[in-house]
Amino acid sequence: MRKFRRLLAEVLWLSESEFDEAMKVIDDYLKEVEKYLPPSKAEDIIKELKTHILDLASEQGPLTVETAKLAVRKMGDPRKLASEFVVGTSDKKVMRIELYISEDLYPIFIRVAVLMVVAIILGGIGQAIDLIYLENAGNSFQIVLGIIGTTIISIIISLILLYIAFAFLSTMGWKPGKELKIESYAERLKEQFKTKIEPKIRRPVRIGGQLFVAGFILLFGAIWIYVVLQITELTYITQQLLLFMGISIIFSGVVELAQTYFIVVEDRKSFLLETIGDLGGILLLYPLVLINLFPESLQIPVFITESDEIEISSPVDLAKYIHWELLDPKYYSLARILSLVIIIIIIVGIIYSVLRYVRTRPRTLAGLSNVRN
Amino acid sequence: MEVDIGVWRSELKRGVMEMCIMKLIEKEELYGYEIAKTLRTLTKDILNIEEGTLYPLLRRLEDRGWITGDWKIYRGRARKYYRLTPLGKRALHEMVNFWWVLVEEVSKIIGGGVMVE
Repeated sequence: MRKFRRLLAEVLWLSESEFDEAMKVIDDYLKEVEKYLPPSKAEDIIKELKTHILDLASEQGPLTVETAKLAVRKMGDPRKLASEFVVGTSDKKVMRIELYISEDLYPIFIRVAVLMVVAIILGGIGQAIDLIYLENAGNSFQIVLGIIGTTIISIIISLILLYIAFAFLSTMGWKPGKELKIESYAERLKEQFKTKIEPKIRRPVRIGGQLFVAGFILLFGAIWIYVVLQITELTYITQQLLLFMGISIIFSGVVELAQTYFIVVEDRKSFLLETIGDLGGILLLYPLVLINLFPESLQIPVFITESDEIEISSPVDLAKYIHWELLDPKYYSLARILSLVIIIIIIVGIIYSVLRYVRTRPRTLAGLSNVRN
Repeated sequence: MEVDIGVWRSELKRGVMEMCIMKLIEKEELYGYEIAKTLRTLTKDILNIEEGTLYPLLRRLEDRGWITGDWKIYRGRARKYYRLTPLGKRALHEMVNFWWVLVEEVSKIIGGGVMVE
């Protein structure tokens, strides 16, 4: 009897540890799949996949490490499996930015957008009438052209801001008639920071190429700034524009250089640094605003071709053959419009980059304990 | 010399898979593993759906509102059983109708019901 009980205990002990090891094989596989799944659906998907793997394993007999491994192998590469749930086609990993307007809010968005566009157009017409007939502000054609330009830009900016506002409300899950709870959004935001997916797309990056690019950009930026500082005939605004362009170039070079660290240590580029690099456009906002407000101080480069011989042995020599002339007054409106468009593009780009980073951060494994059942 | 039509076959099977799965669950609720096994058995392994394809496909059908799944405990294990929704039944009806029209029209081109040696 004692011998039988010892044998039974040994058999049970072996089965238990074998079962645990087999489950570990399955759980490790599912952890890997879960990293790449959309957070809102991950728990349900993992639960279902686990059941399926156990069924597959049971085709071979009792659950052992070998049958678990066979079953997991049949499921395929975890990342590839997860990507099928994201976009439904194989071998694609998508960074999703869920900046969309929900079905409930979309009709309201359209109505508000139409009303807003009509209001802006009417405002523009009113302004044109005011300037042409009441104030006799000058050439009617030019006034109308200028107002059309500013009206179009106003419509674009307003639509973008309206879209962002409605997308924000959609993300909060707000519907007409439902109470808007900022606290619940703060909770949801906290949850989203905890449960995001970092795209682990590994690309082979050459260190030599990366260093060359970084060095080239830094050198170019340094020369740019040096040459700008040598030019004495620049107005404040033109100098600021050129200097900040140079600083922006150097900023990009520094980011590229910093990326080298990640390439050496982790064999990949840092997503955070990429995002910081995208924010470099902020540096151009100040000079662009100045141009928009004071286009009369903007200068444009004119290449001097009067000399028979042109000797250029350095970038500073090149600068000697460029004469800086103040912008023709007939182009002031164009300068204002262009600078405003570039400002909008930079701001939209910054918002996009920040949202892209914020919404794709790595998941913690804390949520994984809910998967086991 | 044998010609490889593997890609074409995969594409064709992918096209009919949704219809076949929806047909299977039209009268009876089934869970994922059962669906895959039944497909294999009934079609003599012709429609052998991979695990990596089955569950995303089921999710897509759920997202479209054509099928719905409920978790139930069976033999001590939680399983998600799928069934057609009313919208799914209408969709299936359309798909099957189209299928027979397609078979008829394609048969006019390739000749119906005869395997080519």
